[in-house]
Amino acid sequence: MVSSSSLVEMPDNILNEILAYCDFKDILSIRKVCRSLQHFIDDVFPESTLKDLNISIHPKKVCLDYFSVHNTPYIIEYHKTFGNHCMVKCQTTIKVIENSNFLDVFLRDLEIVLMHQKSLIRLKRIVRYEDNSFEYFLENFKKLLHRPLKIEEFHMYVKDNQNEILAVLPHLDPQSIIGISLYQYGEDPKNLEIGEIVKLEHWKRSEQLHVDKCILKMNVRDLANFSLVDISMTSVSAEEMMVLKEKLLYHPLLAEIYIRCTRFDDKQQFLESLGIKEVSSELYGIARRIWHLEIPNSDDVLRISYRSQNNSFAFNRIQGSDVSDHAEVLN
Amino acid sequence: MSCEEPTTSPTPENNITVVSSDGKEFLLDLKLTEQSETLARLISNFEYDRTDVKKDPVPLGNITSAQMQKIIEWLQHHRYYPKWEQNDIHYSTSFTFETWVEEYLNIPNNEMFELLNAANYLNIPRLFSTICRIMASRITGKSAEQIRTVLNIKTDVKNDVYTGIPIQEDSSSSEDGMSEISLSPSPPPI
Repeated sequence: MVSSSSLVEMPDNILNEILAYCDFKDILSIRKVCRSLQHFIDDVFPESTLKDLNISIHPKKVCLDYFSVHNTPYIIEYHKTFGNHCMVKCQTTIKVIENSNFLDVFLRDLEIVLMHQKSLIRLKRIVRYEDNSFEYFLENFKKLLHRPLKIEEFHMYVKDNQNEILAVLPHLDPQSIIGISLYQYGEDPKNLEIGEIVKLEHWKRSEQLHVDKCILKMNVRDLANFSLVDISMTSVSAEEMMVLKEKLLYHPLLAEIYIRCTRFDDKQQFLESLGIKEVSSELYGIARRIWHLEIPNSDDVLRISYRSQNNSFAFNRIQGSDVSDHAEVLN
Repeated sequence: MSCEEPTTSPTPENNITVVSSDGKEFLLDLKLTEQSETLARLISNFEYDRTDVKKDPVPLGNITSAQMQKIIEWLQHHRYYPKWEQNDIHYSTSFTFETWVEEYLNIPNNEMFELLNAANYLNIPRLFSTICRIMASRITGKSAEQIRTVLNIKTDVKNDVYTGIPIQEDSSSSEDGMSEISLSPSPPPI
């Protein structure tokens, strides 16, 4: 029998197995080895298996870093150099691509990376240190994608306009998203209207929401699908809070919804609606008022705590047995 | 060394005979054949694990006696290993190998690929996966040119005379390589 004794003569299942242990960068190199491997790779289109993907955009530099399945970090830097050239730096190698906009070179590479990505990315973080380049990236992001990206955790630096988020979030696969985190770019907290974002399937399917230094302008009712939330809001009303409270009574996976309210004009009305059987507690010198509400058909209890110091409310689902003896459960 | 005298002393009840492509007979302990899904299925189909069934020699037309010798060495070493679990990601994606395995597979590429084919044919998952991982570990982190050298592949892709970088016919396609990928080392001086 004539035995095959070279990589190019291997049957498909063997090649697939070998390629499965290689990361995306290796596959691109193997593709260049010879014509038959090039055809094989183009046909079977092996997946790239990125885990974390971070993009940080600076005035004259973009960093693309990612972890492969082997936990190998790759950091690729695209620098704008004098005379509109692009210098690409990866580990110890440096290459100058003449007469090329560094953002275009970066976008093209990102397109290739994402094109091969079929599996789930755990985290995608878009960090901004500069505006113009960032906006250029957002304008072009949609064009890069050949299919919705599957991402579990989405992190993005924003300013005061939801359109920036709308340039990215709708193009991710809503089925895979678990968490949304938004951070403010800049020193001072800014108000952020998110009326369009709460309509997205991505928002409704998400379980976790974390917002830092942005003050959200939204209806508090739109938080009812989350199990873990930490946000600040421009204003809430007693009516909205009562709707949220009712919805949370029927949310079996609720862990904690924590809301800091900048304005809550009819707060007194909401507090009174919770009833008089409250307990006060002092933790680290911070006074809290706590109510426990019975959850229908369950041993669990909805705990609502209010801290006047920062005008914040926390909703937790806890076990009935964890309610302290001197507290009473309201029905 | 005579192939008819394996290290264990099998009795006719607990062994079968396999015949390599060059006509050599090997007596194989049934315990060892459990690692080969192909042989295990054959044995169970013909009920060769029963003592009252007459056992014919099994021809393995795809495997030479040298390869069979090498495979038996693998089977003997892994005789008491737990059954191979394909889904153990932590184990199967690692690029570190037992010293024994490294020595065992310290063979030329062509022999390695022949052994890989034999492992594929006999369906010995642990050996198959291990060789694939070894091959991947030799490829990973290398440029196309280095891979050609390591695997001794002659390119049929036309190289640019000056840069040594393959000329892509379909250069209109966006997937002809990342800017960073083309950072392959400079070609040797002409």
